[in-house]
Amino acid sequence: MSGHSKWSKVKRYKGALDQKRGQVFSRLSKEIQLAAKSGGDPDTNMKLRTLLLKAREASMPADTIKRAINKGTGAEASAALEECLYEGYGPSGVALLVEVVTESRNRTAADIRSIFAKHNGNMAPSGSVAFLFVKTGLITVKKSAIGEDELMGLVLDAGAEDLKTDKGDAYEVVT
Amino acid sequence: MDSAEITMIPKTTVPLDDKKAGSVLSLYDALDEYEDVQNVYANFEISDEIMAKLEK
Repeated sequence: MSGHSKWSKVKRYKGALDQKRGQVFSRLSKEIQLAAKSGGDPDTNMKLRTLLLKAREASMPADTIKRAINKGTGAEASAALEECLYEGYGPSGVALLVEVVTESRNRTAADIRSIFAKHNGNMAPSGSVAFLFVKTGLITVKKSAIGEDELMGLVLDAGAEDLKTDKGDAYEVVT
Repeated sequence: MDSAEITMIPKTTVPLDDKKAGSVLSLYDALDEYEDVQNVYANFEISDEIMAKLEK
């Protein structure tokens, strides 16, 4: 159970980068489009509902959100989006998992391969590093919203794997 | 609740010193910057001090 707290730092660092590059909307848009494929109604589609909350939090304009939903349900024309997972190694034997959503699988595969090569890494066949990761739910709760003991109680009752406390946030890791 | 998501967490991590961190992050950044990429998960670990130095 050791060393788990560092990946959340990476997530924060990436979050800040995303904002700098103005990619938040385009990424959210793609995710919304994908989620809407299974149904454009947030009341029945929980994944979509969670994404819409995220979008609202990021101040995404309602129009953009609606367009993304329509693209997913097919109400609006768009190229088919595919979800792919690429794996590879970086310098120092670091393992990387790259989640991609694209309209052109071949173009993206070629581009990712070249990014790896340019930065002293190599792309690897599917399955080479995926087993090094575990799919987990991650919930963040502000420390100010709830006391640690109370949260610990809720977390244990719900059967979560781990609860981490860190500067400013309280994390909960659920498997 | 602030946020909830499904994410990939490494079972073990690889710690990096500041020299190695720079080159790993440059790959990570390049991947993350690519528009079609939604998420990059990795198993490296960089200490707070090194992170702070690199963020400058």
